[in-house]
Amino acid sequence: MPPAEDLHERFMRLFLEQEPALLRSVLVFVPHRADARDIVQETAVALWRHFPSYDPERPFLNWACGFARIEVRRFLRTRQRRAQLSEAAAAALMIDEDASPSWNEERARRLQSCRELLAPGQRRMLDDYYLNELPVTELARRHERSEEAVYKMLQRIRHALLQCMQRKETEFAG
Amino acid sequence: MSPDEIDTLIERHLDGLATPEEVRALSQRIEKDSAARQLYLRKARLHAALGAAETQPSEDRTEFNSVPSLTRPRPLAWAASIAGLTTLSLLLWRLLIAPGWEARAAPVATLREISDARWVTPEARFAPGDTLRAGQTLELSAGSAALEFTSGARVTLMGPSIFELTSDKSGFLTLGRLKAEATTPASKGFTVRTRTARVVDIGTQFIAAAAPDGQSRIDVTDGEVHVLLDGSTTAHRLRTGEAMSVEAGSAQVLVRIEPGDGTAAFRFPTIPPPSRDDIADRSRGLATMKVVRGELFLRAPIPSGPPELLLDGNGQNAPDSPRESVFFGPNDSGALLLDLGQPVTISQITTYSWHQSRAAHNRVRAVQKFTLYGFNGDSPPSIETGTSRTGWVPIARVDSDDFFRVMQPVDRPAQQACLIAGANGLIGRYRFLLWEVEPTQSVSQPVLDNTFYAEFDVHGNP
Repeated sequence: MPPAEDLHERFMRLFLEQEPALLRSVLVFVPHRADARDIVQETAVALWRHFPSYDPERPFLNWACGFARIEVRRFLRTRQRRAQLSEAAAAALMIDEDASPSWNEERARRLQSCRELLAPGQRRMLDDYYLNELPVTELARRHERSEEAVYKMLQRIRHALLQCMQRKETEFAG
Repeated sequence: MSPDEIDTLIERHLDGLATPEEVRALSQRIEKDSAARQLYLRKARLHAALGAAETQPSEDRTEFNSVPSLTRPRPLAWAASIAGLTTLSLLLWRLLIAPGWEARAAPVATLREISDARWVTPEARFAPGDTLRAGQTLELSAGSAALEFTSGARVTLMGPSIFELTSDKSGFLTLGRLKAEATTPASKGFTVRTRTARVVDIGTQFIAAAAPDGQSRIDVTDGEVHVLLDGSTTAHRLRTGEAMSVEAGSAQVLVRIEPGDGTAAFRFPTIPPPSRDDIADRSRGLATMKVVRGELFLRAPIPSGPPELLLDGNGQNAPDSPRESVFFGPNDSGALLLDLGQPVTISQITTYSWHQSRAAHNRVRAVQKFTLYGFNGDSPPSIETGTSRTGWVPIARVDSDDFFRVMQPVDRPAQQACLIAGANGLIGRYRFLLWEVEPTQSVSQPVLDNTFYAEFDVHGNP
């Protein structure tokens, strides 16, 4: 077995590389970011404990996602900090998700180019909400709108992004 | 429920606006309706992609549209997504676009100094003088890096570690160790979060550490800090020289170890002396203690006392008193099983040890090194050799040498008390407690010596 320090470093590197992808996989089932981050942290604990049995021939992300899903289900079973999907609903979604194409680089690129098509104000709103993680009360203040209007705007932006991505997907397939 | 209603419900759930009833209705729908699942997945995956920030922050910079997409200031996130791009486009990004997004977030700190620093990825290197912004993460695989926040707080990060700057007065330590100093008025309240604790500095200096398995540890080197645990509103105050470790897990547990005054009175700064009023005290006639793995050292002329000695409410009367102590043989590890006789809602567990031999530096049998487990049921799972403890709930890991950062034998306190308490007041409900104890390298012989435990106290209610 390699020395503990090597193992630790190797684990950190692999985990860090895949952390955003892991967070993304958790956010699908637990949309609140603080909750999802907690789950990713729990996943890190589980991964670290099981790391000696990790087969480096296997993709780390696939291996890690399995643990993340276990943690998602555990979380949904036990936590009641805020309203969450039922564990059964999450389990059904997991089966369907496995059957659908994964979120790959191509999709990420499509999303990026669709973002570029948004109006500057819409992009700022999206960044403030997702990237800077500003609360909606603050967004409402900054963008001089009611909170209700901010939520509506976010919904419209996401709708536009989905439609744009769908269009690009069709073009790509065609 | 019409498709539009489902659509709205999904959106409300993703934004955290849905009521518990709405989420229940959505869950039921998702469980039985495949079209609802498809719609949910479509929307939730977009939400997740935006939330996990692998998309590029926008800027009105159409002139750079031809440069491939790159991401938020999380070095590894973007390093991963740019795999395959040419060095030229990377250079372009660094020269043209990176300054673009940096202009939007206010700087919160400056990197002042690095020493033998090795960054996790070569693309995410920082140099002294670099401005750091909220949301940026420093990932150090070795060496150290000193940052100065605009609030005046100073943080020295020691590799390997991962630290995210969250504002001019806060950061998140995912892994590793850092030293924080908040001595200026503006930096008062500087906060370091770990996954289990939030450490608020109130004009002082402390060291915070986060282990890969989630254990956090806080040492106050000067002044005073408040430690708040996730899910708890009670602040735990720590002063100069005090330290605390916090275990990960749903029942968060605090471990506090203190040096005693080295007298038979067993006086500690905040931990009470051995008690006769605890629920495990022998006088109550309920609790029993026995050895379930390993063997106590029973050879003359210095045999261990019997295991029940740990429940008699007394510490030792002298610093090197084997008969008044319970200890395993040299090179041996062992396990002690406490049966409380009934399920008990436990709030606090305290263990005491004392050892100072004639040689001033020899206090090796004072070290407390154990893993504590709990079990609630009538017959505890068997204790076999090996590390797996199926059926047992891990409560805490204690290594007082690590806690006191013992570098030399003389650093080690001769008398020690270790207090384990639930962060929210409760550790859990258990009938059985299991201590798996470990020996420590002797200072005079090439053997491992076992601790002279004096007393184990358990507080709680049946």
